[in-house]
Amino acid sequence: MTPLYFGTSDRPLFGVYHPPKGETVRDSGILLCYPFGHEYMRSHRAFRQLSLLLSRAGYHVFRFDYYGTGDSGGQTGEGDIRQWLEDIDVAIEELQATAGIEKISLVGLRLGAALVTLAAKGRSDIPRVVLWDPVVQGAPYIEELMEARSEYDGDLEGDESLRSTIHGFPLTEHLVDSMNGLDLLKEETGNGEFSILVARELPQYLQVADHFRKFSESVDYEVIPAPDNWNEVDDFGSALLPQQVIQGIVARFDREAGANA
Amino acid sequence: MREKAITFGGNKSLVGIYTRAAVDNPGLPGVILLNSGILHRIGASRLHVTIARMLAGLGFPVMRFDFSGIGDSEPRRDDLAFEESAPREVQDAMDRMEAIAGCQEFVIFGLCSGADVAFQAAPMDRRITGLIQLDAVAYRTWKWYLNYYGPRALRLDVWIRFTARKLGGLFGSTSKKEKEELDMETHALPTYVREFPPKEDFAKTLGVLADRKVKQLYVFTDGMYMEYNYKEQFAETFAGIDFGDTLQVEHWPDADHIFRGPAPQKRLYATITEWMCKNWPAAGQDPDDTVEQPRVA
Repeated sequence: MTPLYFGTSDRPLFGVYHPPKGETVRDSGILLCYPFGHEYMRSHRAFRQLSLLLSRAGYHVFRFDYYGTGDSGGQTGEGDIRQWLEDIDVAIEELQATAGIEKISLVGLRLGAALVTLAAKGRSDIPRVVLWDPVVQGAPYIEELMEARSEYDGDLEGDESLRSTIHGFPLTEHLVDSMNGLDLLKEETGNGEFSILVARELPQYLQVADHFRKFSESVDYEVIPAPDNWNEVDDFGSALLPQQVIQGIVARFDREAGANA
Repeated sequence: MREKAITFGGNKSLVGIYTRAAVDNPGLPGVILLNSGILHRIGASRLHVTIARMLAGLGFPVMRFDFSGIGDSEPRRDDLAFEESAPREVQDAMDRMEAIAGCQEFVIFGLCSGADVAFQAAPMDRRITGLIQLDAVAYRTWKWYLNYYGPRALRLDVWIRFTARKLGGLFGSTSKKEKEELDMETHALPTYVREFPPKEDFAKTLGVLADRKVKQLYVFTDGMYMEYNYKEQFAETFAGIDFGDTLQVEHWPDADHIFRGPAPQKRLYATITEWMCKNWPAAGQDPDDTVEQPRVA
């Protein structure tokens, strides 16, 4: 495992590269894309575990923090959807260059799932996209975040650039504007393979699976019952490790590798 | 300003981010930021990232890192309990900072469990000359009880809730313990369980640190209201210890345990900046001009 900074000097990004472990080394990589804010905090350990399992399955794995998040450059609240999509492109290039490979699959959780769907559009080097408990539409997601606020997130000190903070992470008006335009049900996707793995069945998940089938012949959808309370945060920011979904994602890639062998 | 990802400790299993000081100043201590509970090194509300860059802008070399088994650091391969391994890993971090930046002394920053570890490490290593303790260990005084129970005893809603709880217990409604057990099922990782040392032990260590003139900043938030509810509580609890001018205690009942709101965050940054510049005057700069962006190392 190698933690590193990459990108440009005025826009440094932090990532962790997990090289393949074990007997099999595959000639493809997997980029993991985090969710937003407190959901990122809750899922960090799960992403580490997923990275380790996928690297043991022989994949080159890379996970990284978007600009203005985690250990990457930028102040908290600086990012938006467009910038984070550019960051995903930069991270794909970084993994391709580091591992000397071309094909990169994408895995995204919550907002990260929406981002990887958009990032894969028009690219021929993304064989598979995995959406985990995806954010399907921006506006309902913002409502969900606003409902998840704690009483301490309310005082914004008259800062008009802020819609709110959500468990300490700023939800800027700028970010809200960019999220409002997000709607996977209106997006024309790439024609690669899609896996939609969700911890419980919701109408929007079925809708997005049906929508993706208009563009791709390979869309699998599975409900894997597991904890999905990403918006519940206590004072210690307790982590969420839905082992069942993590194993489900690894199994997807194992099956794909078996089919290609 | 530059940030660099580093690995250190036994088997290089610990992962940290080193933030180089904006200006080399060998007279200033290094600053090390510790995990809070199981939150990884960026800290609650990304506080640690902002504080690291802010202090590096003032001239302090800074490192934030993950203890074994937290964030990106690997679990330990020995049988050491966290209470034993964590202070040793603070020393590993100091060794690494000494090698990278030539630091001879250190300020250790911690929130909640991070404060507890910083306090455990301080008597073990004389290189530690400063502590920033957010929601550290606290002990109730008679005045705490008066502040807590006095106003409540006169409130009708408190009596109604108290009576309902008692009746609910008689008729088998979900107890607090049962609810916690249900909650635990949805949280796959154990939450951090905090245990305070006996007050006498804590006071003894405080005495050692006071003799060594270790500078200490304590901030207590509303997250500690069950243990700490007025500004003078710390000084009254440890009235027998002569801290001289090394102690500063703040009580912010309008801030929560993980500093969610913009106002408490700004207040924290300003207080830390002011306290660091007061104790290490070579660092004095306008804090408004200190938050800079890192560059790729």
